[in-house]
Amino acid sequence: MTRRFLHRLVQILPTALGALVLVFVLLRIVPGDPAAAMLGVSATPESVQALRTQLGLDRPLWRQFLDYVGGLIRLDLGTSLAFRVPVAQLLAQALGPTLLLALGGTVVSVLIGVPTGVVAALNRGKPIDQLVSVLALVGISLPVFVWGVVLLVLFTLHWRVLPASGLGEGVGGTLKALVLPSLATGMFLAGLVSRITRSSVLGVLGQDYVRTAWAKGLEPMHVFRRHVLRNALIPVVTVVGLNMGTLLGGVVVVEGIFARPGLGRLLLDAIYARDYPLIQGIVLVSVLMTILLNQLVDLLYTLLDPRVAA
Amino acid sequence: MRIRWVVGAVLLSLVLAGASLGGPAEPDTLVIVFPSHQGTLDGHFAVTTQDMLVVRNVYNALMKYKPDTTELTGDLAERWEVSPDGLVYTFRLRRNVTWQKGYGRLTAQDVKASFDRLRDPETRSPFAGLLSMVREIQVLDPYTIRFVLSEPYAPFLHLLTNYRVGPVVNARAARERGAAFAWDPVGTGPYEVERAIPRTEVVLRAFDQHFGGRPRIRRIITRTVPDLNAMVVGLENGQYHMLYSIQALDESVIKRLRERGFSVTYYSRNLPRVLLMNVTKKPLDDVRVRRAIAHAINRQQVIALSMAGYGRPWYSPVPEGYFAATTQVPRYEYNPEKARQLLVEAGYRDGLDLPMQVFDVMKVTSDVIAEQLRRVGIRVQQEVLDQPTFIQRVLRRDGSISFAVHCCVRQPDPDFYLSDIFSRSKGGAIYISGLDLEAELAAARRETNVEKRRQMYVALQRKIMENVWMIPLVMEFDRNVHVPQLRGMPRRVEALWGLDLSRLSFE
Amino acid sequence: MGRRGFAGGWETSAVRRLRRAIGGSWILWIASGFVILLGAVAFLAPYLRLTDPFAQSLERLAPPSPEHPFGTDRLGRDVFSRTVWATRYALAVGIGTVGVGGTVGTLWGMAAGFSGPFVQEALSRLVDVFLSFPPLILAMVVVTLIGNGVFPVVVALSFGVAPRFARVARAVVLAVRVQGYVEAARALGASSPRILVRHILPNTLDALIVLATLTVPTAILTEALLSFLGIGIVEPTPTWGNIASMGQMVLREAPWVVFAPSLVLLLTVLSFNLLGDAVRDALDPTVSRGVWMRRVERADLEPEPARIASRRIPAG
Repeated sequence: MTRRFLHRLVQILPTALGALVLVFVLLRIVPGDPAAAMLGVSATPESVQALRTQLGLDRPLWRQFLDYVGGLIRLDLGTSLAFRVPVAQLLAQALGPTLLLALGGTVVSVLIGVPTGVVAALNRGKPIDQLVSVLALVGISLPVFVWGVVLLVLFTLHWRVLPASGLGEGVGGTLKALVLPSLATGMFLAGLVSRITRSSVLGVLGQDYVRTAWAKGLEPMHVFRRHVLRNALIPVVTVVGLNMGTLLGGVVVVEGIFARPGLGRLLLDAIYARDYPLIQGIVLVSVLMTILLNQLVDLLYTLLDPRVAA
Repeated sequence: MRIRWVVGAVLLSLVLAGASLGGPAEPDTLVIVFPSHQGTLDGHFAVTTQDMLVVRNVYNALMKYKPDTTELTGDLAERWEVSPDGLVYTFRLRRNVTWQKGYGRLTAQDVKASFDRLRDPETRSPFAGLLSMVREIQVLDPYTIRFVLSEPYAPFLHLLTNYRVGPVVNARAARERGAAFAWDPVGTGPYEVERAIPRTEVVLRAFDQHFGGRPRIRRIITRTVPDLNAMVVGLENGQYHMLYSIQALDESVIKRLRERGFSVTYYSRNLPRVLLMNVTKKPLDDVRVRRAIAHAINRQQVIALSMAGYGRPWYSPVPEGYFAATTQVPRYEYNPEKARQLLVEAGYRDGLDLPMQVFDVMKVTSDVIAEQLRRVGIRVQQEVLDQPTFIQRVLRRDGSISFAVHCCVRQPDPDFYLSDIFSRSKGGAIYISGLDLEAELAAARRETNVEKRRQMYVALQRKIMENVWMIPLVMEFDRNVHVPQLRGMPRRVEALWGLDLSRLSFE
Repeated sequence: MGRRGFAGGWETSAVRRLRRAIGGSWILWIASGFVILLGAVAFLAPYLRLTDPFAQSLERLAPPSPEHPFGTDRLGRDVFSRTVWATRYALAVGIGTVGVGGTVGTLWGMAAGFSGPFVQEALSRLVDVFLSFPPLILAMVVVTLIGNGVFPVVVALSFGVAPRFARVARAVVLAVRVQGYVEAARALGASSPRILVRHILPNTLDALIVLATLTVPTAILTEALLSFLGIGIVEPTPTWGNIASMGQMVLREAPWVVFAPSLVLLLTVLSFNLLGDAVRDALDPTVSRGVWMRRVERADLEPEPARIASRRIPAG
């Protein structure tokens, strides 16, 4: 397991580094100067120059890059230009809420998608099957911001049950603040999961080994749990893994609507302020997150399907 | 022996309990939210409104503006004198000023140290150059400080207000804390920073030894909420008490909030919205084209559509409320027919294509103006840029920013504003015009006779408007929505950035 | 087996299957009709006598009326007219992205499939890296670099779309190369390259067409998110996303500003999804009848053919 992880890391590392160089260079070519960004409308040519010097932006490009890579080796991601604190600190602050929300959205999608898909599969052809299918289709066709805005107004104003923004205090508060954003984020994936669950349950139900188990006289529920569900869930895991990217995109929009200070917001602000070290830090974190997520998906595969060689 | 301790403790606790029972129960926390982030709380680096909201209350400066006016008065300075030749400014400081966080009493030496830190090349404050006219700072005695200028500078006292170069920071604390000073500052103001989490919130606690007295509200939390909806919802369900400087809020939402019992406070911040143009290049080098544009603008519609009604039409280069502001200038009223006529005269029978550069904050106003210009045949091509790109291009001075809606608050003296727009050497992020009126501006800057100086600016304003070198549009009001129990907000004008939080209280 | 036989054979059977799939369901007829209607509207927008979508007025946030079927927005502009005009940009982005991203991705994937191990590894790692970026975030960064407008958005979205096409193209090429080539060579005796192209191409095309029809709604949705955030296609140019964005603050006073464009967006994406499903069902013979099902693409899994064999996928 660890060998596979390291193997993957070694594979990804050169391309990650390449991507980093690309982003590094492009950021400095692109119009918009961090010093000008920070000074805003009070900027003057002299003050911008002074700030550029203070931030070390007037040194040659290769020098800046070497310093940055040197810092990386020491696990120092540099200091944010716009907020004047270590990049690592901002990333740590933002990573938690984003991961929580991504997790929340995934949980929501599975909690809604799997049962509805199973129900639809078991009642194939009947009205409830049609209903679930329609809802699932609507789920994947409606943009995430509509969910977010509607949920916001309904549950925080009409029925004042949940907080409108922020991260919440303590475990209870955090969970309460997660409910609506997770729902908004997870709806799209819930639709996908529902559809996949339905089709894969149907598929497994038709397999020989299931019929054999029934013929042997095993209890239907037992058969269901042990054989059908386990195998049916494999494509679900696949689909969830594949759509992590889209989920994270939804997280960016939802974080804005519910004012959660996560990576999405951080990236928007970093881009706006041309905060190079911060943008680079976020790029690095995204790549690492993907590796981790892929490893997680692989892990789930081995748990669900022992036939897959470890 | 022990009995005495016990009795003492009991008595003490009774006294304390009595003290808290006796006075009115002050609700102790005020939560203020705004949509953008703060960048720093270091007075010598702070630029944004959100930064200033805190900086204004953490530090004091030598001078300040009397509440609700644009009249200068002393802050840390009790008395001051200006020499007749305008070169020497002597300030007598208050004697009862204490630094926050245990840094002792304020002396003239401390004030000098603050200015030295600002001008120290090592600090690299972007504002160091603004004090280039100061030749020397002398400490005459522990409570007297003197500035000697190399040339007369009429607006000097305005520079010493709590903005950019004015805030008096504790230089020793800055040295000790290094980079951390940006979020853990030390000043003499009515509030000190208890805790600051960048991008999220700043917690201020009342500084009881402040020379101005104990602030009424014990704790103030400023928070960034980037989404307008979330802000409004949070206000409605009690999470927040004030939405600060909410320019982007729609009129219908403000109306609804008012109906639900919230208060809308609006006041002038001497904040103009203007159209700036590069008058040295085609097609804007033709005064008829510029006059046409001026006649095409319907200011009432701009106010109604892009400012939720919170504005007043304005026709003069110097913003209303400033020294030497005047309405005795040529005016170009809304007259689309005349606009079209002028364009034909200028040779643009079939209309004219005009690029316009827009940065996000000015988007809605630019959209409204672009549409108004389209009606008279001026086809505006908008180039939407974000602020950093826009500002960088302005500073490059390559003419790529040639026509834009702009703003900008400055201290209420015309020199700062007009120099930024029309002086090649002193112009900054709003120097788009391509002109150089430095000669006239320098003369006015140096004039020590107040009345003479006023006349110079009046004449200059007339000249600017005769040639339509810029098109003033409106004076915009700053708007805040807050719970009705909050008192102490400005009513007419707030001459400095931010708010004086020590004047606020809960009813 | 001449050229005519193969080419004709594939086409007829696919078209027949497509017709069977669509013909069986009235919902699909509606969906196809809607898509065609959209296309027509997008094309003819300048000729329909609509209110000027840019004309501002002081009649802000007016409720729907005969004069303004979808009401007016915060600047007093007609929401119906803006929604109709926005169709052009939505379709342009949807189809443009598939065109650009699809072409680039397919070439990329095929190049990977046909090359030697080293180049293939490099190109595949590149695919992984690009896929590791959430498409929306990637698009945000690209648009910041290039600027705002329809073309930059198409390019930005293509960055996210191309890797997916590359993956599919590569997997199919590999699968056919490993398996189909051998089989075909055996079955047909001395194999000529042209006949192999006849085998490889139809399979690749099928998978790619399915991916393309399902990518259009994704691209439209992603663009809506981008313009909702105020990036890409910006005001005063109307898009469904930016109309809704301007309306979210006044959701309670004037819900039509958010809901009208959102409804049209929903119907558009829904129709494309339905059509995409039908196309997929029609072109993939292993899928049983029925419109509502969607099968996991073989190629969506791990690219190595060996692992494909080890994964049991329900035939659905």
